Amino acid sequence: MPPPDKIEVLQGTLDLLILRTLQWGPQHGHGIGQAIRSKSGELLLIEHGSLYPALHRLQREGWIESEWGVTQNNRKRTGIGIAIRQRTRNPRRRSRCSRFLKGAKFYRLTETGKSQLAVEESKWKLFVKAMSRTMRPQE
Amino acid sequence: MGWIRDWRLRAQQEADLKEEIRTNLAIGKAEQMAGGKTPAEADRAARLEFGNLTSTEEAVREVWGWTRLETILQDMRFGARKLRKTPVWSAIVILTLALGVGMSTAIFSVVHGVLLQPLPYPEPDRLMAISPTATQKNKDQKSKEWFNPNPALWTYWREHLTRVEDIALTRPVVNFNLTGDGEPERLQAARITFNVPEVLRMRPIFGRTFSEDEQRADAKVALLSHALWNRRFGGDPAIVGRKIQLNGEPFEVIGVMPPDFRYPTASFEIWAPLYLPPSAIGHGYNFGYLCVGRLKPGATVEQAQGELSAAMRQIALEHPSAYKQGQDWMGGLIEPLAQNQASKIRPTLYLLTAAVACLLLIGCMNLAVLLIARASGRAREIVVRVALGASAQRIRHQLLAEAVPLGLGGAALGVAVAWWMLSILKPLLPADMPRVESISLNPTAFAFATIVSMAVVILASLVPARLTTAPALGSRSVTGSSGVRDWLVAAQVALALILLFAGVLFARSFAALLDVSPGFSSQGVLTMHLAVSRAKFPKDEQISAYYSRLIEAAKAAPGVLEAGIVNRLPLSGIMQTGGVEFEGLDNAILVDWRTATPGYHAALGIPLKLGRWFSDSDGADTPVVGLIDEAVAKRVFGDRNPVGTRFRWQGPPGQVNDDPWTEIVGVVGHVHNDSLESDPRPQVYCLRAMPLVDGQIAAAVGAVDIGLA
Repeated sequence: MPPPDKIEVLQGTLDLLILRTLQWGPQHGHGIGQAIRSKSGELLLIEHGSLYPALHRLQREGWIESEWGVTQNNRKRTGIGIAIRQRTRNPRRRSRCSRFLKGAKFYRLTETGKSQLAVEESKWKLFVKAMSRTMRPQE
Repeated sequence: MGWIRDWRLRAQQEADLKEEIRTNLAIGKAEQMAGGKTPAEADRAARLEFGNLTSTEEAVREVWGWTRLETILQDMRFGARKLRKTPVWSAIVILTLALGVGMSTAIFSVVHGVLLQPLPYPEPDRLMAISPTATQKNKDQKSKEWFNPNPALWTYWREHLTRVEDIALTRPVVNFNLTGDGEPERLQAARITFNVPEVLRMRPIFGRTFSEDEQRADAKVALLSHALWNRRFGGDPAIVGRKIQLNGEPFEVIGVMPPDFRYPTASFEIWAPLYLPPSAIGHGYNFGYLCVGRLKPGATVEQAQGELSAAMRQIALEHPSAYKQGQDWMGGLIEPLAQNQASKIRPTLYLLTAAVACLLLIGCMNLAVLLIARASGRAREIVVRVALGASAQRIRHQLLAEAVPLGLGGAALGVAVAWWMLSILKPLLPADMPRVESISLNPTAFAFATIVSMAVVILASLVPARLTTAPALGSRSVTGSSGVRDWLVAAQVALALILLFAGVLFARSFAALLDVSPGFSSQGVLTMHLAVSRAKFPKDEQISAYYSRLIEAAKAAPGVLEAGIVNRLPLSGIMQTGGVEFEGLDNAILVDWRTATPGYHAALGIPLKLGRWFSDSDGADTPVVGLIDEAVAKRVFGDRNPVGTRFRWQGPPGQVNDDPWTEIVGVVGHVHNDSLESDPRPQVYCLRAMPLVDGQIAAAVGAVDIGLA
């Protein structure tokens, strides 16, 4: 059987992947998906159907926070170098604003998120160690 | 106002999510364009990469948490909208449900009230009706029929039946005229032994019951029913100790019984001690009582029945002069009181229950067919929904949201139907049907019918949800589920056929009932009941004179054609039976025994077939005369003319008989005395009053015929 060209994300590891990705800086949903994909050598393909719920869940846990900002492309083009946080409470107006600004929702790691990442990471390493030991061919 | 803030927050979240997805799609598209694609291609690629927008949104909303209530509300709105779009279909489903639930609840409520509901007394399973049985010869067929016991049997049973804790004796046919404060009233009353309340385990709510000594001394004390106490005495507890006038004699009220005390039936309103003079306690006569016993804890009906049968044989042995030996002429029957009271109506009610169960089943199948037919029509819609990202669960919820309002509407209407049916059914039930008063809308029956039909509605409406599974989407055409429908239709047709046949049979036997001529004409006949006070008329002649005056007065009233008196009207639910033997013939038969005055038969339109009527010249000095009906004539005399021969009261098993002979002067038409359905006995009529053992003139009944011009 040839090795699969794509593998599914293991249950529970998506959170770790997201937290890890956000360690390099704020990113929007699409960017997070792309980053995981390229970092995994195109092996991990994250479905948006699970990515977005996970983002909202992590946000609710307080491990990440979000703000509306301008993408790198826009920044280059318009020269607006700072992320703009829309404070308008009227959602319709705000979405009009952000459309105008070509802004996107950026996620960023919080302090608790950082420590959570450490916890998850060490748990993951332990898991990998245990798995590889178990799977190692016996002499 | 927390929820307003929540709502606004929620709206903001919603807009945020939309915008987030939109921007991310835009970013994806921009990347694709940077890779050299045309805008249209890039858009498509970005969307493909993103996957299903709706289900992603739904999944995110799930994370927000409070979507459940919201989706339910949304589904309900959607369901209601769908139902409104097909008002006729919805109405049919709701009506089917309502009829199924309503009818079965109503009928089951009747069955429950009459047959299943336990008697209102503590430990009702131990209450037994005890009665003697007689072998009836009816066209070569022998059957045992129970009849009312007498005080002698009661005394013997009470002494010898060890499995029975105690047995109480009641004489139900006692009429009291209540006079004094307010309108005079005729009350249905019972003479009871002191232990009736104890056997039934009922205590008066005020006052006390009477003692054995009071019973033996014929004390003038009375117990009132709760209804009478409220109706006549305004529910005044001070009534206890007061004297009321019953048949012109003062009786002291000693207690008020609770509402549940309805013995022998709910129509009894007053109870007085049953005085039994030694002359009343003898074997072979005076059968007009009821026995109720309470089994000892742990004793079974079978044990008691065995004991009773043995006792009956023993009685025959001990009284060789009163009972025939070696024959099974008289046996005994002990059966649960509730069963005994409902024994006549039971088969009909069971049949009705079966019919109603059939009806509920057919109703449910109808529902299933309706719902599944609709579901098949919606297969396409559902497949599209799934393609647009609706999860299987969401589809199920939506289908349920349509089914639940239907079910609830049907159930609500069902209560109304059941209530309405009961209210028209109750007055239509036979008047002599026992325990009618305990019929009420049965919550359990309603819950059962509702749950069954709701389950059908829900299951049937979930059928299309199967389409959301992958194989249904992938390969099959979307017409779906015709197999289930075919089966349902076939089963339904079969059931409908069964019901149709049952219905035809029902209708036929009902028509046969309607065709039954009762043997008399009730048209233009007015009746009344009266009781004659022995205190006022101590001698038999005085009573005869009183009756004569009464009949004269009735005949004198304008429009009255005929008037007469009988001691038991036909179909009045009161029996008086006995054996008669004929002079020179060894052919005793069981008959309805009636005492009547000359005008009675003419008033009721009972025809004379042979001989002559009673006449006013028949008196105390002339030979005792009687009439037999055509059924007796045919059975006993065949083609011979019975006029001029004599018969007499035979008394049960071989009683040594010194009863005087009665000369047959005429043959009259046969009458249904018990009910239209059953016609167990022929009749004989006697002009002379029967020797009444405790001096009680029982329900004298006037029948007058008023010409309707």
